[in-house]
Amino acid sequence: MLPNSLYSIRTTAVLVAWGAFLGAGGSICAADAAAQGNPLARDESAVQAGDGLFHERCAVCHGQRAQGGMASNLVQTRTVRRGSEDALFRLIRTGIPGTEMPPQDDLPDERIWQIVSYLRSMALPGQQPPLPGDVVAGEALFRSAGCASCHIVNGSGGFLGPPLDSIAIQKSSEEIRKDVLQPSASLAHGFETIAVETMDGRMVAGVLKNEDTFLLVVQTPDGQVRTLLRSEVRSAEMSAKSRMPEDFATRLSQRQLTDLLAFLDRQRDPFTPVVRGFAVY
Amino acid sequence: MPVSMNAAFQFRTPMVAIVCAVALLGPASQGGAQPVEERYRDAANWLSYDRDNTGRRYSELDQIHRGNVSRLVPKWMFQYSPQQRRSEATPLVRDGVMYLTAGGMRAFALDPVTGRSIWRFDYPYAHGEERQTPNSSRGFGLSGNRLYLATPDCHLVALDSRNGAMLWRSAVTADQPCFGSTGAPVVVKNRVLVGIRGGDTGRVRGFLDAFNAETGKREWRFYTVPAPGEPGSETWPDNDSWKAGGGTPWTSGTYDPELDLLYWPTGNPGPKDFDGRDREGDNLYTATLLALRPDDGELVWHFQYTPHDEHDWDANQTPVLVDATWNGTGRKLLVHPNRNSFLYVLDRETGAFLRATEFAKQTWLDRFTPEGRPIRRPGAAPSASGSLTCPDIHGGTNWQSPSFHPGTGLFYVMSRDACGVYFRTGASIDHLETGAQNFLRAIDLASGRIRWEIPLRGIENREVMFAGAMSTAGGLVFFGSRDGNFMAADAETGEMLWHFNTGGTIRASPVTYEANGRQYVAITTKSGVFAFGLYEEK
Repeated sequence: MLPNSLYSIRTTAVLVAWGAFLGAGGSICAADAAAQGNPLARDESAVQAGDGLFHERCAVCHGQRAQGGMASNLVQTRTVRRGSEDALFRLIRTGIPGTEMPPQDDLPDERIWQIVSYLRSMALPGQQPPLPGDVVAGEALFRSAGCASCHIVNGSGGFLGPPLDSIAIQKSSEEIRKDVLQPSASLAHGFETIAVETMDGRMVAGVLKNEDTFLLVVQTPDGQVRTLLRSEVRSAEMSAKSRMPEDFATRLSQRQLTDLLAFLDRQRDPFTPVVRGFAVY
Repeated sequence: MPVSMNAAFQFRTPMVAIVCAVALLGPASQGGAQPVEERYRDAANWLSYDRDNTGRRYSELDQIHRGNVSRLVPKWMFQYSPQQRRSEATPLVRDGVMYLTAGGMRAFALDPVTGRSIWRFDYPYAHGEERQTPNSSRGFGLSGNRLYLATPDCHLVALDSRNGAMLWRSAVTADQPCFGSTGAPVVVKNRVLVGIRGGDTGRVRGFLDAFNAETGKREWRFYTVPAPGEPGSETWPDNDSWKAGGGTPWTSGTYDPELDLLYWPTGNPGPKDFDGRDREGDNLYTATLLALRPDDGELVWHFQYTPHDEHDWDANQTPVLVDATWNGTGRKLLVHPNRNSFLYVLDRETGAFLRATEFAKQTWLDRFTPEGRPIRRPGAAPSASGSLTCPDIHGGTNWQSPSFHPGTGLFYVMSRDACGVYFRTGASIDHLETGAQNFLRAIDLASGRIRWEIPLRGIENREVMFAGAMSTAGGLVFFGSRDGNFMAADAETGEMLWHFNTGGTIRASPVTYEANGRQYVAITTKSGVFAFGLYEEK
């Protein structure tokens, strides 16, 4: 299972609002400056300045590294990852009517562009140059080494782990490499595993798909979904370990690892929905 | 569901009671007379945000009780709109009609027995006016045939309760940026009181406005941050920070008719929430409880909970009025579960500090002075490198309603153990890392100690929560949770007796009412309102 540390989208409302807002972007009063594209682009000093400004104005809601808090995870947001920088500029300046997102219309253009540069830098993984390696061999290895038994790519694969069609947009190549070699370092929300013992002695192990004050919902490896009342549970233990094998570093040759990572690096499908763990919307 | 003090995932916290006066609550707290205005005495109705002027969110209705609450079933649901992202509103009910705001843009009158709508009101925004959190209206104020609604574009609107027609519309702010008004207006002595939000923007000087309930004409304004030369201005430095000093009163206040005092809490100071270096001093009257004369806005006394707040803890929780015997003497108390994790008891005649006890995890306080001024622990203030401090930015509780049950003497608080790293630029939260946990806690008002608690379990209940509580003479406390569960527990013991998954996050507090001789319990959820009643075989 590939972990996904960027799980913390809780407030999808704002995400939806962003989508709706940008969908209607043509009707939004566009600042002239926004029609020019970001004049600062990836200038490192602009990114740094934007980082400071983001912490000052945005981090309270969007988290210290833009990975979500009260408001959405901007690193995973399509608008930030793949929308136009002009649209992002307009959105920051105008805010999102009907949400907690206030306008930043007191900032000069340059300062807004700095925030744009910072956000783009945080969402850069999808813009990195392709990793070298034999992508075809990597896919063959993905299928033969057992990865596909838990992960769907290109329409086929297992269901116990998160689908990976857009993994290289969500994560940097370094993060993906770490996920392959140290799969338990961070676990994907919505795909954590749990072992439950019921009062009548049954053992149920699988992926925890939901939980609340009264119940646990567990998906077992055969695909069945079991709802267990907490009042009927003797013990429930979350696994600190991923279901993924921990030995890819020794099991795969350097060449094989390079090919596998190259294959994963090509998984940048912009039309794949981000699959999240459970949450109340 | 057993009540657990040792549940899995629970953040174990040493609950240290900081008792500045040994209090003994006597019979007055056990169902004795409470300072309720006459107009609120009909238990069938729910006429203001917290039901009556005391803020107790307690109802004398007892048709639904411990013995039959397991038969509670949904009677109807009303869905406002598929676009609704959330609702924080408390519906009002009077004489067979429910009045509901769905954001600051839309409102409805409903049949409280069937959920069928009677009229609908759509707020007529002017082009370009739409700003800020239209989904955060917390409800109507009500007096006679008039409903009062605070809008996201900073207006107070009066509607005719019989048909939803707009009678007048008055600007709540005109001389500074508008960031909306979200609290339910409060009607006291033919005046409608409404505050503003926006204290976190660094661009607002807070105030509370009083409008004539009939004409909509503003009668007075109390600025929660004094101008230079005014009383309290000595707590601000000699710069312009007061102009963006925050202190916004963005929730609803309470009222004592005998003392003729209005109690209203204020928000955190600005211009920067987490960096107070340009506003050295106590920053009155932010994070403060104000006792004001409703006739002219005169400040009679004030109590500042968190001087020079640098954690955005504000004080916008409900000030609850309780008459009780305190150390052998009948006393008019004000009980306030503060976002800074302490439950305060004040004398509401004088503002004197009586006691504060910890009801949620905190690491910032060393001790209180006898006057109730907090002495902070070193290192609690935000810093450039970050300071790990409890509670987190959302506080030990927040704006959601607490409830006081005069029969049990228990104070019910939706509370939260959580910590955050405070930077001067903002607060960072990783609730998995810090093991955050939400609870319903029942606090014995006599001792200030937690009598029992119900941990709200599941990963969703580690995140910030805005669901409130309500108690009834049926011996029940109703409450919600972030994950959409609406629940009822035994008000005395905390035994969980009933629950229902509404399917959408709950960011509102429950109400109860009687219609056609039957008691209902209602809660607002993300996109609708649910009403529950006892199952009846036809």
